[in-house]
Amino acid sequence: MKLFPTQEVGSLSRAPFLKKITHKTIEETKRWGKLLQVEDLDMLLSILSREKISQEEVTILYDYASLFAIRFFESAGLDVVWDGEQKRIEMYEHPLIHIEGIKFLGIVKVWDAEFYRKAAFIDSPKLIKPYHLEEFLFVKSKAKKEVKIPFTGAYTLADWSFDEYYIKRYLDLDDPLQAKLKAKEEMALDIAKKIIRPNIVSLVEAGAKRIQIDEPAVTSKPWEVPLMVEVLNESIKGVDVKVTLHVCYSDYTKLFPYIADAKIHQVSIECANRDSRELGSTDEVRIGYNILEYFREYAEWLEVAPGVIDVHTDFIEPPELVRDRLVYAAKKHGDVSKIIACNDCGLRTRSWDIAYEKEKSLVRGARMAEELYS
Amino acid sequence: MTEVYGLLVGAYSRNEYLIKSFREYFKNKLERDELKKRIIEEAKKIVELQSRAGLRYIIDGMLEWHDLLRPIAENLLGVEVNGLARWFDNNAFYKKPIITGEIHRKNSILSGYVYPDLVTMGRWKLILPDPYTFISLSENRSKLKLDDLLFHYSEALNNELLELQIKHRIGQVQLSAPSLVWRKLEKDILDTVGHAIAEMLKGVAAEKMIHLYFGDGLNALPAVLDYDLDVVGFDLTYTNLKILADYDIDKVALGIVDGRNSLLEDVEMVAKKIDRYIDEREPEIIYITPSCELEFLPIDIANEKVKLISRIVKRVGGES
Repeated sequence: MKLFPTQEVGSLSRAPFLKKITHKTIEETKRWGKLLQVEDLDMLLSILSREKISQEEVTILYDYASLFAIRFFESAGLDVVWDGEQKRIEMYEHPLIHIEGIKFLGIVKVWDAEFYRKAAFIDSPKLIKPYHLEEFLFVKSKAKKEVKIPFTGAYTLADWSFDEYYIKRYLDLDDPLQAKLKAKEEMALDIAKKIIRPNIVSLVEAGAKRIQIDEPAVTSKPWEVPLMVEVLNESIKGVDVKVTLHVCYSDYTKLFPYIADAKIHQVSIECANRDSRELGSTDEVRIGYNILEYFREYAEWLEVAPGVIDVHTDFIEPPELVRDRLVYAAKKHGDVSKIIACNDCGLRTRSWDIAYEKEKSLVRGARMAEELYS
Repeated sequence: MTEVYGLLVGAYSRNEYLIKSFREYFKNKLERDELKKRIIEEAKKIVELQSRAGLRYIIDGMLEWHDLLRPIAENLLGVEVNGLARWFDNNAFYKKPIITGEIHRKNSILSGYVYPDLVTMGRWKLILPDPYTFISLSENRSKLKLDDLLFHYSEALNNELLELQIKHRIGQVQLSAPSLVWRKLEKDILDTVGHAIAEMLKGVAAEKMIHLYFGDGLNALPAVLDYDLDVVGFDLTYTNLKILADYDIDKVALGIVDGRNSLLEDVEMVAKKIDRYIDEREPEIIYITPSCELEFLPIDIANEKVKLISRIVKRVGGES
């Protein structure tokens, strides 16, 4: 059994040729294409050299972007890969454009000048078509390694949306918190049953073995963690697939004890961001990984993928630091076979050069950690 | 006879044009003066909207406040601005102030952030974080204790307020106090905060309001009723109005219009709830407000919510 297998979390910044096509981006495309040994590179370069690119060729460019990202992770040596979400807008808007019963109302600030386009549920949602299937079929046809498909979870889609439908049923309640909770429960369960589960079923029927459900919103309302677990279980009910729950930049203590009721196999969390950069496996330096004790206490059967690569800095973690973080995580958890080497989150905010070095460090560090146990 | 008015209680929504202007500015593609011009243009529209809606006091939109704490954190000595942290239970973030030493006010804190001249004299409403909210949302890297920090902050902000009121006639000062109700605090802390607030608002001539939001207002009652304040505001998406009616509050702000959901409330349904409250308590003044800042709504929805407040005020029988 391989100890500390490696996996990515989801996103990667856009392939060079999905940006404005200039001499520089073409050179970048050539460089990465050769480094990653991407197939049929000449055809891509031929498209990029044209004065006008047709709609059909744009679709081909997105396929190439997906292929580049798959080879990116494979070339770095990861055991489980995805295509860096090259074909998605972002994690909220992308699913919602495939759903009837919602309307986009405009943009809202997240912080400073960062914003997102926010939608309201105005009816019970209906899936227009499974929105990750084509993406998966393409990745499956190209990937040489195991594939894991990341999804935005039902709870987060509910939490990040306005509710103009479900809440109407409870406006006459005196207790506003009860009203909101009941409406949220119905909304999130509806999304789980009518949107997320059909998507998962379509993927599993097409051969998917692993999925990752992203629930970044879960601990923002700690009193709703049990609801997220209920909704998660509803999303995967009756489906035979390995499920990872990804949560990041949150107070993970709020997940416990409820997470033990989730019918999942693995939890992926961000830890490197809150850790020190010093080498060693002591409590003093590995301050980002105390949460592993909670897993040992409440849900020791779960695999845990603690982030050992910080995705919000250009600092390249030395393999020795990756090793020490993994060793410490294993010590805290108590079962080395349950620890997966992973990034904190998607790599969308890093350049490809930085991301590639980080991923190579992830793999080297994981192998160094494994050697200590051999 | 209860008087009924409308009010806003926090930063207004930025439209797409303004958000993109900030992005351009951050990327050095837009000059500071041009950004300022655009902010003022949008602020004027927000002021005009509130005037037309007949709101009693008027905010200037707070469009340059990236978050409630930022202007203060950036301009107080002893405080630095650090990384992102979640803004209560929202999909929104603020930059966490880091307290590195004694907090002092050296120069004006808010000049450059406020536009009182856009508002008719005497109707400008200024909103600030209460001492506990600011300090508890900061990271304390100094060796100072909570009590000291609360009073240092209050003293610094009191200086700011006294200086501001010399230059401008402030109609209302609101302390935004989500941290007082997000979790139930010990009575000792609530009492200390009351003293700090008295220090902060000492000598302030404007009407003094506190707004308790993102939590159950009952968490801070009855302690807050003893504070030296004129108006107490509640977030009725968290606070049960029927239970709130057990308390005698002369001037109350009812945040009954959901500032975080796009659904436009039914005027009649809302009005009936307020009618019942008036029948039971007969307060001197009721302010009808959103539950929180309107910055969590797209601007078109925020505008509709302001008009909705005006309709509720008219229906309940107040002035508008």
